[in-house]
This record gives sequence, C-alpha cells and structure tokens, in this order.
Amino acid sequence: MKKILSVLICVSLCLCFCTLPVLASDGSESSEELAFNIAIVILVPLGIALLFCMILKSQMKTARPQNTAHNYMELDESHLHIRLDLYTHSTRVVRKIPQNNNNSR
Amino acid sequence: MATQVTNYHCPNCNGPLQFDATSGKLECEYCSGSFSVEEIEKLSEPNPEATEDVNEEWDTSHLSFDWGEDRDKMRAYECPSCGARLLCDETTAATSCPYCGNPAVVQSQLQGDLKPDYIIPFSTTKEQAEEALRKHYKGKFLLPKAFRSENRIQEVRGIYVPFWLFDGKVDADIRYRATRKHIHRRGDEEIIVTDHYIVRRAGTFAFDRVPVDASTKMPDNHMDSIEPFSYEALKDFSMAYLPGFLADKFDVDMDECALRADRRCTQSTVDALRSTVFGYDTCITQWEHIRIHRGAVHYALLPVWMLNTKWKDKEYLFAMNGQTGRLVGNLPIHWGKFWGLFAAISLPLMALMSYLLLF
Repeated sequence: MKKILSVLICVSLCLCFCTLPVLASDGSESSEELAFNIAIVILVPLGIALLFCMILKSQMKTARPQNTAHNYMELDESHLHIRLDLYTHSTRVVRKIPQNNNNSR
Repeated sequence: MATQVTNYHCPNCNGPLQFDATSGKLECEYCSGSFSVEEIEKLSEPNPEATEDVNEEWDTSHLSFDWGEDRDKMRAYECPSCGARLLCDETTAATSCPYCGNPAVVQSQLQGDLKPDYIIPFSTTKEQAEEALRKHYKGKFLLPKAFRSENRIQEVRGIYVPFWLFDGKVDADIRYRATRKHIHRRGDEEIIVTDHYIVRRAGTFAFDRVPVDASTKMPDNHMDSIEPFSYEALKDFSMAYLPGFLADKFDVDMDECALRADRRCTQSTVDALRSTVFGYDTCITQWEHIRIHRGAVHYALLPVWMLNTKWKDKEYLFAMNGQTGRLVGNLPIHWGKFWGLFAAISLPLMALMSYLLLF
C-alpha cells in the first residue's frame, strides 16, 4: 500500500511539474486568467483531498456530546399553536448583464 | 389613501402603520408593507426578546431513600483513588475500580443512598462487547496498524450507570425574517425581486425521560453517544438485576444535570419549529421566547459495558450500550497515513486538472 501511494505521489508530482510551466508559458491567456487557472489547479484538489481526509478522521472520533433530545420528543403531545407566514414587501434590484467580449480562446 | 393614524408599528421596518380605509388594512408608507388588523394584533402581543424561562421545580415526590428489605442484600464499595462509590448485591465482589483501575477498593456502609426508580437490564454479554470493539477497529484507514495488533483489552466491566431522567414540556414562540428571491431577465438587464416575509411559529413540545448521566466518572460525551436507550425495557428497580454487575451511585445532583436536559430540549424545540419554515431562500431568527415547564424526574440505572485499552502509555476508553450494543470511543490517528492519503488524492487531481486546462 505504501509503495503504491509513493509511486502515485511521485508520478503526480512529475506531471504537475511538467504541466504547470507549460500552462504558465501559454501566451494566449491574460495574467489574471492564468493566476485563476493555477489557483483552481492547486486549490480544488487540495480542498477535495482535505474533505475526504476529514471524513475519515471524523470516523475515528465517535464520542460526541448530544445537543438535542429528538429521540425523547413525544409527538402525540407536541403541537403548533401559531403558524403565520406574512408577506410584508418586496425589494427590486436591476443590474446590467456584463457583455462577454473575450473571444481569446 | 391613509385616513387614520394608529400606534401600531410595522413588523418589518418599525415605521408607523396607517389604516387604509379602502383596503381595510394597516399599511406602512416606508416599506409598502400591508397587514390585516388581526395579523398586527397577533404580532403585537407582548414577547420579550430571546428569553428563556424556567420557573418550575421538578416533581421529585416519588423519589425514595427507603430500600426496604433490599438494604441488607446490598454492598457498597469506595475507591480511595478516584472517589467512585459503587453498589452491588451480596454475591458480587468489586475487586478493582472500573473507572481508574485501582485494585484497592474498600467496602463501606450503605447509607443515605437514593433508591433508583427504574433499571434497564443488560441484554448484551461481555463477549459481545469485546466483539463490538474488534468490529469498531475495522474499516478505519487512519487507525495505526500497531494499535490493532499491540493493544489489549485491559478490562471489560458491566456497570449500571446512574442517570436522571427528566420529563418536561417546552413552550416556544419564535419569529423569523425570511426572504424569497426571483430572478428574471429583460433584455440586457437582470432583475432580482426579493419578497420579504415575517414568519412566526409557536408551539408546545413534550419530552419524555431525557437521560443525563449522573456520574462524574463517566465521560459525558461517551454517555451521550451511546444513546438512545429503549424505554420499553425499563423495569421497576429490583436487586434481581444486579448480580454480576456493579452499580455506580450518582454524584451529580439533579439540578446540575437538569441544565443539560433543558439545553437539549430547548435546542430540539428550536429545531422542530425551524423545520416547519420552508420554501424560503433565507430565514433569520428575529426573536424567540422559550419557556420550560419541568415535570417529573426519575432516578434510573442504565446498563453500560466499559472497555479499557492501553497503547503507548495512553488509556483508551470505549463504552457500549448494554441494551442496544452501540459502541463508541475515540481511536488514535496515524498522521503519516493522513498526510500520505492527502497527497495521494490531491497531487493526481492537480495533474489531471492541469492536463484538462492545457488541452
């Protein structure tokens, strides 16, 4: 398992080092677009990996405080007295849709 | 046209409301809100903001210190190390403290002890508890391999843990501000119309025997997590259920435990009311008034298997519900595996996304 993970990490590192400079040297993109692309390439995978690892980590901790008492609620003796949904007013915002004139790609 | 000025205020913007004779409604000049008299009167009922009242005493009339003939059949032990006070029947001997492992527990006198109202008998065995712990280790990628192989269960003890069971009702009245958004296009313009609502929910919610563990030696998180217990198996207390098990004596009084029960019931009530508000894009609580009506309180002994393990000089405590078999306990984390997995997921994804963006 360790060997597979190590090989996977090494191959991926090589690929990243190969592709990111190519991505950076592609002159057809503006610097903002390039920074945005690089940020996506780095941040999205980090976010997905962190989410997955945190799910596994949360499985290691099963003793947690209970903040509710749903299991002990007696539905027969529970009821709503007031259920009121009252419309008060509306607000309206109008904004121009930006025209996309960027046909560089 | 407004024809009469009233003292009512707009529930939305707090501006003065005026009675419109043509529509027969109260209208706000500032936000264009329109309300019927009944609605405004309902909303204008006195409601202190974000309040929580508890003004009743618990009904403890049925709690008893009288053990009757059972008193002669009971034994009490005390742990000089952690102060645990344990009860058992005359056929069971406590050889060590189930909490701190101290082998020098001493026999003491049974005096001034409250007799439990109820007991839930054990319906799982020691072997099932050990098997549940082994299952608990399975499928845990981040668990150190050595923990599985090196750690040994030091002790498995069946303990009747003291719990206070609280009955009660919660009256809640909550007002929210909610909005619903509609977006449509007209030519090169985007029009966002946001409808604003005042939403009010009020109701009464009853709770039956909310358990709170009454032992300082039992970690609250463990005891909370092994819930729920099924009260169908709840029996009137009898010595007949004790042989082979130790029973802990409560050392947290009901008033202290009641605060935890109050918090849990209040939160459940707030959640229940909030779940009836739907179909909105946003919903923010404006004010809430919660009143707790305290009912009866019961003293019960509930069955728990405690499993202690030791690894790298650190104690790990697991607790299993002796009725349902639900086992909880925190496990150590192999941080090397954690970061290795993190890299093994993120780096190939980075490579893949670079290629996708490139081609």
